[in-house]
Order: sequence, then C-alpha cells, then structure tokens
Amino acid sequence: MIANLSIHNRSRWESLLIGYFLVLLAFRIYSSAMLVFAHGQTFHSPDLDYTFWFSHLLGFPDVIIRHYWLCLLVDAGVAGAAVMALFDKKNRAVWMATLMLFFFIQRITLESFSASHTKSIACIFVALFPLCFRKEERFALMMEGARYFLLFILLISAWNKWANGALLSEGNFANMLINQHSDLAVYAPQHISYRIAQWLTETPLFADIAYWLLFLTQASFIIGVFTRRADQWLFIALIAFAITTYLVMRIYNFDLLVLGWVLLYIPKKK
Amino acid sequence: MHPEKWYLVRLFKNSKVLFLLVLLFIFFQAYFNHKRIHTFPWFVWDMYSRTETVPETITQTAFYINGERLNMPELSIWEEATILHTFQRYYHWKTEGKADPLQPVVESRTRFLPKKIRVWVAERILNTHDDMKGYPQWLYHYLTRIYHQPIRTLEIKRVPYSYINKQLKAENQPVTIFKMVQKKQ
Repeated sequence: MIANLSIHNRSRWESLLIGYFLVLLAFRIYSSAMLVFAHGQTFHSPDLDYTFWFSHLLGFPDVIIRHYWLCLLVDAGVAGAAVMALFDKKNRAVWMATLMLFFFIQRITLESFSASHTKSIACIFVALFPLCFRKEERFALMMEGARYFLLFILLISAWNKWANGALLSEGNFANMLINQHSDLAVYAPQHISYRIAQWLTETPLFADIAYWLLFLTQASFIIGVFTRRADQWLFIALIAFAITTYLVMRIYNFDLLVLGWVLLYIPKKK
Repeated sequence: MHPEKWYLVRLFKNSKVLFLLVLLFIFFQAYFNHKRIHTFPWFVWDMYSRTETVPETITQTAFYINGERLNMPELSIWEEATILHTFQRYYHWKTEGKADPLQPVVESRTRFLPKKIRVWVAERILNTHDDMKGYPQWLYHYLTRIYHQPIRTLEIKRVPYSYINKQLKAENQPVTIFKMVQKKQ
C-alpha cells in the first residue's frame, strides 16, 4: 500500500503546483525554450491556430520578438510572477493572473517564431486558472472543471486509438516507433529511447502489448468520471504515462502532469 | 444523480459569467475536435492514434557546422524542433515559389470580409520576402549560441535513406541545399 497522496489544504496544494511549474520553468530555461533565445527571429508560423492568428492581428508577438529587452521582460515576468505567487500567499490570485498573462504572451510569441506548437501547454493554463480565484466555492468549481478536462483529453485520446483502427492494427506501434526515431537511428543508435524502441520493433508482439498498455492507461481515466476515490491512482498512472512516453518515444508530456495535480486536491468536507 | 448536483447547474447558480465561459470552452472543444484543428487553449489529441506505415525511403536534414555533422539528439527537444522546423519552413518558401503556404488559408478564412480587412489580415498573418530573407542570419546566431564555438561554415544537406530490414541505410551522397560561409571580420 502507498500512503494517501491526497492534499486537503488548498494553500499547500497550490504551493506544490506552483513549485512543480517552477521546476518545469527551470527545464525550459535549460532547454532554451525562452524568448531571449529566439530573439530576432524574422518570420512567424501561426499555422492554423486561431489564437495565434488573433495574436498576430493584435501584433504583440511581432513587436516583442524584435526587441531583446521586451523578450527579457516577458521571460522575467513569467519567472517573477511564479515566484511571487509561491511566496506571497495573500495576493496569490493576483500573481496567478499576472503569471497567466505573461505566460500566454511568452508561449504565443515563442511558439510562433520557433515554428513549434506545443499542444500540451493548454493543460498548464487549465490547471493554473482556478488559482486566479480567491473565493473557495469558485476555486472548487474551476478545479472540478479542470479535472473533467483532464479526463476528457485522456479519454478522447484512447477513443481515437480505438476508432481510427490503430489499436487493432497489428505491428502498428512498431511502425510508429520506427518513424518516430528515424533521427536517433542515424545520429544516436546508442540512445536509451532508441534501444528500447529497437527491442520493441524487433518483437512486434511486445510493441503491440505496449500500445495496448498505453491505451488502457488512458482508458482507465473513465473511472474518474464516476468516482474520485481512484484519483491518486490515476495520478500515478499519469506519472507512469509521462515517464514511459518520454523514455520510449521521446515525447515531452510533463506539461500534462501540471493538470494531473488536480487529481490530488480533495477539499475537507465542512 | 439529482440535476441540482450537476456540474453545469452548480456553476450556473454560482456565476453566470463563468458558466458562459465554460459553455463556450466546451462548444469550441467539440468544434475543434470535430474539425481536427488545434487552437490554443483547446486540446485536440489525436497524434499516434492512427495506422502508420513505414515509408520505403526518408530524407533527413543534416546540419554541418565547420564541416562536422551536428548531433541533433544531443540538443534539447526544443532546440532540435526550433532548428528543424524553422529551416523546413524557410526551405519550403525558398523552393516553392517564395509564397507563404498559409496564403490559401488566409484567402479562405477572410473570403466573406471586406477587401480592406482581407488585405490587412494577409499583411499581419503572411510573411513577407524581407521576413524570410533575414532568417539565415538568425539561424547562424542561434546555432552559434548552441555550438559554443565560432561558426566558420554552416552547410545543410538532405540525406536520403532507405529502410532495409527495418534499418536505415544511406542511399546516395547527401545534397547540399544551403551553405553559409562567415566572412572574416
């Protein structure tokens, strides 16, 4: 048996969530995923995303990327607001709103000018949104909404695997791994992700089992629709999902874990 | 369960504004899911959920700095994506008649708007010739920061590979598609 992971104290839960956000932020700095590193890029790539289009119509990403000090200001705004939200508990809701604003500006600008759109960033915003509310009741309602959103995206992903025929297509995951790791095959065949993937592609039965496990992990979130009792187990499943997809497929799913924190907060009954 | 306990009913009773916000969020989530368009902050998750085949051949973009091949997986995932994706956009623009690939989308999305607005939207969304022209210099600076050494030559090649027994084998000699030699200061 593992200890009960649920957190009943709102302030403690918020601090842990912001702490995790700061850990991810440190990783972003290490990975050069900050505006100061992309400063001066000359062309943008909003793709089909309507929010990126509206942002470029307003013009702020194009102005920011041209000025180093603005890039620095936005990056510092994200880090500063997160640190303040962590320590200034009294004004946390205000700092969270500020953080969301800076983070939005940063991500839209960076992703457009890096031609790399990260889908899972949406999870961070949905997870942070409830913290902008001081009133306990509204906070709880927004948390509940965020939890439903988490359940929805995992279940829709499982459903797509089934409905699109990927799940029942023999050897499909082996093909996915080959396509996913074509760069590692050339550059770094000794890489752990490639070694795991190679073992799976050589034994397609295990690859199919691994894909089924992935599907079952996502599908297991259906339990969350009916009860909150399994939430901490779902959180553990989500951690396992993030780590294994990073190890096997080299996909960064740790943003999804930010939203996963909503599974751990269970307010005390009055 | 009694309707009074339903999430949306409780939300409606607490705040009409938040209720409307959540309702809009649900509506657009369903819409974008149906259309399979990713728009922030909605999440359309259908990657790795389709049947895939292994192509007979693939082409990789290889970066050579001072004659040495840059080991892409050694970079962070973000750096690798930034370099590859931006270069692919630039190369596409250079080889496909120097037109922004979003042009037909802009035309389609603004077709019902007055001409003045159509022109304004196109100006904001599409990249100009000048925007694209500045890219090589930016790429050079970006790579210099990652490489931690002065870059004398930057060469980008396309390397064709074939899958033979699920192993990648280089097919022919790589073809240089971009070259930049830094002038001595």
